[in-house]
Amino acid sequence: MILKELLGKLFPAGYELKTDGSIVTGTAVCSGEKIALIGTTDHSLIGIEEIMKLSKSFLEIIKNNPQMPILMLVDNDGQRMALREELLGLPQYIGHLASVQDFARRNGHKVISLIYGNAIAGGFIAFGMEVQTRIYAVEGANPSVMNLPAISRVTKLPLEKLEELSKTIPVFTPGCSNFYKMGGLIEIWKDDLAKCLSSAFADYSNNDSRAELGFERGGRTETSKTINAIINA
Amino acid sequence: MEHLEYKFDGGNTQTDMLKSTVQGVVSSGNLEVLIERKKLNGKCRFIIDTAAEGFAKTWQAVLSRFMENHQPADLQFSINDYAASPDIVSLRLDQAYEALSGGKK
Amino acid sequence: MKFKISQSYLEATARQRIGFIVDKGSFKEIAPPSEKPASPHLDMFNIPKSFGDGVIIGEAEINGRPVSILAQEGKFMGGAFGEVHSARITGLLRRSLNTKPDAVVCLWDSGGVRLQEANAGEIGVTEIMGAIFDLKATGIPVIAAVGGSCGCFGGAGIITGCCDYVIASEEARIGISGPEVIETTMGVDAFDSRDRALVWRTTGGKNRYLFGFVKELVENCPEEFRSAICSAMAKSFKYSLKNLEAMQEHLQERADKFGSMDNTFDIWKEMGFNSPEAIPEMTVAELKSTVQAGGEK
Repeated sequence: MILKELLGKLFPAGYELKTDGSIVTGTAVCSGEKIALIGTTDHSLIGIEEIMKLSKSFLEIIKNNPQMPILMLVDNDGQRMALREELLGLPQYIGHLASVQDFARRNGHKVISLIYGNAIAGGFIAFGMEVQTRIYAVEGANPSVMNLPAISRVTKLPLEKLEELSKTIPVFTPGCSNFYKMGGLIEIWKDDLAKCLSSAFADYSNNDSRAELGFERGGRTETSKTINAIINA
Repeated sequence: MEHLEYKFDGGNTQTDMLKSTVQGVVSSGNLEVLIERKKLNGKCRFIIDTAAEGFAKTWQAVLSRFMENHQPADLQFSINDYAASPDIVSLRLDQAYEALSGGKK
Repeated sequence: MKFKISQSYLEATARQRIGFIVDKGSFKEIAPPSEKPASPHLDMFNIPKSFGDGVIIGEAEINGRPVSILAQEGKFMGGAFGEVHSARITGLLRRSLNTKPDAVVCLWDSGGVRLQEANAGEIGVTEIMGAIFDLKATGIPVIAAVGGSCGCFGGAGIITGCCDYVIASEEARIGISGPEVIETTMGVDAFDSRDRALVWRTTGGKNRYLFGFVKELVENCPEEFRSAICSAMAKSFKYSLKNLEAMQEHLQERADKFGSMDNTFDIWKEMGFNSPEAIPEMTVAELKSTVQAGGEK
């Protein structure tokens, strides 16, 4: 889904948006409450510049608009793969971006992540998944770690075999329904996105319940058992 | 992957040993051996998961030799093997047994 | 027989590394191999499982002070984050919120998410990050040590970027996209992965130290890792807006100042080192004294 179409459906009463390269920021009203928008467009790559802009937006909202809910609009093709990003220390930049997201939700901001395009590998971790508890996707979005041909190259398992396995096994297969089964998405939104969003903010919780969701949905059966056994050991 | 299990009559049960030990790492050409003391009526049990299929006879030979050398009893061996050679398997078994029995030669 | 000569942290197994770091006899393993925790997903790839799924977790003492400690086994599946592997780490970190040790010590050694379990690994990485942030918010320091042959790449690199304090050896490489991945995706002109010196200069411990990402650089020697961890435990860290703003400024400055350079030597020169070409050959002590003598850090 393209951003304009998405925002039209989320906020029929209108919204304000500023675009800076592939980064967007703005505000809108959801259930009578003003919320902040921070996102990326056009399958953006998540590199140093993008991170600095995104993290700055978070810090400004934390500082200037206490408690304001934040909607992250997620569409990226992964981390920027370049010598330059690696030279400057991309892990530290992504760690920082994750920290400011975490700090926001820890300090009274409801932060929701909505994948409307792609969300891939390190880009997905950096901007999309670090919200922990409240990750949603619109139908047709593409969350992914690596596509099957690339997994096939790395694991040396024939692509045909991988494709066969992928029909029933969600643990390595890209796509919304698989991440849903793993507990990585709370819901997949189909119709009436405005209503979905206002219920998402209304149901907001700060607990990371993805392990339990993954267990209930049968996609990650070991995680919650393992975690709880260790906590109680 | 192939799953194999073997049972051998043991020698003398020793009690001055650790309860369990693990030696080796599951990486290509290597294996991990976990030994646990278990009440097995004096026998020793080997439970093997191996990436190299079709070597049941080789395992039998390597394990028999190990049993003859050490005469252990009431031990369960759990092995995760990433296609290690018989020499490496023997070495890891010896190391694990040595660690279990407190480094005694 | 005991050798006085120092061993190599790089070549040691995860279990040996824990032995190097903690007080002798103090390690109490949680969910040990005898409980046979292992990945249910590897069978279909014809890959053997490992008890513990490639990470050892437990509690111990360092200089008599209680810590939680974990060590990834880089030799098993490249230390990669699979479902059980990640859950074991998350479990230890969440447990630490209750047990409140003086520090959580993480001996990372990982190429990132385990592709055979990609989705579980990816989600697992962020569950770990969330637990690290919980610890930081509680004031329990999360100390990372990196010195294994896998370094810290992909999700492991990101996790390292979330820790309070990073200790690394020169041999430790920390990044997101490995050189081979960049070369495959972007072409050999973008990053020649066979140029090992280039790879080390770019992602190696020294460059990370000079940028301030790695807080303490050590030789590839267990005693140095242990003593750096002890020093880190004497520090306190604050998870605050002020510190995040300072980090924002610091990272922006770094990008502005060095972002146009595609060569470590140019960057080191700009930092104030007169002979940057000499840095790769320097010992840790030599590098530190050069930094003190005027090279910027």
